Amino acid sequence: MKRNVPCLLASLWLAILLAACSTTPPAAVDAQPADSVAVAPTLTSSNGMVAAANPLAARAGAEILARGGNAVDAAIAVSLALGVVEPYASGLGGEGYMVAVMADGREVSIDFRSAAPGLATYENLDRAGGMNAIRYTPKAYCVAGVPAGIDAALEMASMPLSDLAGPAIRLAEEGFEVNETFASVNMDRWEVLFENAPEFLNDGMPWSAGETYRNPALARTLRRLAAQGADDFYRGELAENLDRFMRENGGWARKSDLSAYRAYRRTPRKGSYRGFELIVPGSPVGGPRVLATLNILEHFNLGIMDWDDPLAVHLMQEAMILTSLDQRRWIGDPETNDYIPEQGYVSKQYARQRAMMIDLSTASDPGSWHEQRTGDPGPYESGAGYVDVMLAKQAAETAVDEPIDPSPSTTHFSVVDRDGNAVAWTQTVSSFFGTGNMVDGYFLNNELVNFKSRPVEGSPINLEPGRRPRTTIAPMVVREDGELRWVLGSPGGGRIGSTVIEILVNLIDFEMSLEEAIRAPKFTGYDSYPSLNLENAFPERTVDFLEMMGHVVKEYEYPDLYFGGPNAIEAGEDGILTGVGSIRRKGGAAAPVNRGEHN
Amino acid sequence: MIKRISRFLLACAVFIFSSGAVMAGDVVMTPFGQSPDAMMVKVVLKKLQVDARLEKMLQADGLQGEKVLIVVVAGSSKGLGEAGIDKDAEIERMQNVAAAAKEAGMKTLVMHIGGKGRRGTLTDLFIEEAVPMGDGLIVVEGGDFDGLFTRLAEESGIVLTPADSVRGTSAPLESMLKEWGVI
Repeated sequence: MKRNVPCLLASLWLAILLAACSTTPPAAVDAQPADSVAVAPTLTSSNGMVAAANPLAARAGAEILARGGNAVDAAIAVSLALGVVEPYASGLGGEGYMVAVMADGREVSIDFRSAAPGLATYENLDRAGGMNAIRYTPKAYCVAGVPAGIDAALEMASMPLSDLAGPAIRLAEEGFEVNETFASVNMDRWEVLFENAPEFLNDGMPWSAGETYRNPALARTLRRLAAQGADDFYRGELAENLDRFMRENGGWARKSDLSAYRAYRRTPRKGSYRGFELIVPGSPVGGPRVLATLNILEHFNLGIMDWDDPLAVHLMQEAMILTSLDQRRWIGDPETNDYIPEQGYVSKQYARQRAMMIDLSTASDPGSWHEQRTGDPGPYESGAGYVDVMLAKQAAETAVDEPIDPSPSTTHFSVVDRDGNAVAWTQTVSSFFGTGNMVDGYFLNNELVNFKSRPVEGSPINLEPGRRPRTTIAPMVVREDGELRWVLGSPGGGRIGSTVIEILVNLIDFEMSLEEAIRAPKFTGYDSYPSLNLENAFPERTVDFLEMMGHVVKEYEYPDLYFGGPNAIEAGEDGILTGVGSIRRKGGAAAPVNRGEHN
Repeated sequence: MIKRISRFLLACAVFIFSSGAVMAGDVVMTPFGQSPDAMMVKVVLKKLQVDARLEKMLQADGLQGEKVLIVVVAGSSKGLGEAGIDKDAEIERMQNVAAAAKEAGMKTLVMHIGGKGRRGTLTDLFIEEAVPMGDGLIVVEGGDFDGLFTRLAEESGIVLTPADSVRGTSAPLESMLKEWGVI
């Protein structure tokens, strides 16, 4: 971190904070030579690296790397293993988005977002009592994309699915020790599970940390998937099982919806921030918003400030509010919307116009956000400059779109192999445990609640059969001078964008290490929250100053899972990879040891 | 007709005695802080064949001659919001209920079952108020990580009974309810 004079006290504060909260120092890869894989909260290695929200899942990926698999192989193994050890956050019944940057130059993103089934219409929704009434019922399920995403990723893999599913099957069959996060989330969602999936519970009670959880039903499903591929999930016996469950329990998805589903392989969206190249997924997820926010922040010299400077917090907060307002108004599923002005939204020229909206000394009024601060990136679609656009006095679109606060669920993992192939992968079931309903050992997502509860003219997220809802996930790969630098992403619902943006600013402007950037206290900038929500590890004077500027500050106890759980990897210039698991979710990093000697 | 009623009453009596079930009315429960944790305790009690009445917004005049009041403490902003009250109103409600229970000669059992994850500024505020109300205190592992319950139990002169999990509250619950004449 920088050590310019005005920042010394702030830096000292963060150092004390990090020292106090750091429970496990970074471990060298050779520190645990017990088998072919080393696992620790923070880890360094030159043999490849996996960082995930659960150390068991990170280990699963590292085992694949140790056996000679590439980053995509490992990512598939981690995806499946996370569905076992974090069944509340993601799984076969969920969805997501991944970005892969391969050493041979391929840059690929795979959209495996879920899709609304054919019976998901506003007419049926009204008949069912509205969005809140269906939230924890099979009706809230959108056709899952994880199996199709894995199937699409297999094109870049080097090992068969039967091998890659091995660690997940083992974890499901043999069981694993429940950790504090699992127990805590299970406790929070107990009521829904008691009602919908009592078979998941431990004799009717939530699982406690230290107990062993097994999921033989999921193990059977994974074995089927490993043997028969994703086709069985969408067209075979697994599809029939889901169809039957839906019909018996009033759900809307049918086998025909499953058979119509496919993952999309897309070209990732690219942007830049102070010379760093960012490779992110495009609509309908949060990648464009990260770029749009950083484009605005480029107009301010954050590098002369520090992480706890109230002006830096204010600028970031205001920029993130502006881009979340635009995201809500303009970003949606490109397959089912005719007009998504994503190009304009991420243009540097539009960012200049948006930067002018920020008052340096005063917080914007939340009451004015939706009607007065939503912008119109449309005129910038063609590459126009801000002077021309603003002189032409293009009318700003101010359609009001009610805020939806996405769930804090979701999981993100990052993988880099020894050849430099990199994968950033975020997957989710929306709310923790999704609908709370289980089929064949996996939980059904409740992504449908991410659509508008009522149709709003012009909204890109009106409910429509086949449409994919918009979410905030933003897996990404960052390069510097063409070289891999960071792989990152985070869960956290409406906090995903802010957490990822703050990590990038911490890394690039405040020159923190990756571990410092992740550990540093976080705050939200999102239009669902009229208050500035922040972890209570900022100095008191920072909070006082922000309140003086007009921000209504709401503090959360540091560290809080509410602010996400990033799992990230840094590639050093010396070829050393540093993996950092989330401190807010008890994540971990794993790496192969002496690759080639442990087959 | 009378014969049929007699048969029904007999069947009820046989069921009650054969199952060992406790008559409804011996135990009333309420959450202090409006978290859903009390429902979990109700399930544990059900396994002990204790049919407890759970009232989220139990008031002082809502006691119906029960022997035991179980207060399950954990703060939930969402729960308070749904109940339409703030933390001060919740504390006042519980102070009134506890006072009425004491006046009625009831035993009060305070429980915290959420471990470390169910601690925080809001919950701690309720814990400080709740523990002195208790004749007994059961805390699931992790909930007393900083010694808060130990300190409050000592100050209040009550015994802190630890449990290793929510399921693990079954044994101390059974023991206390036996001691208090419920089982």
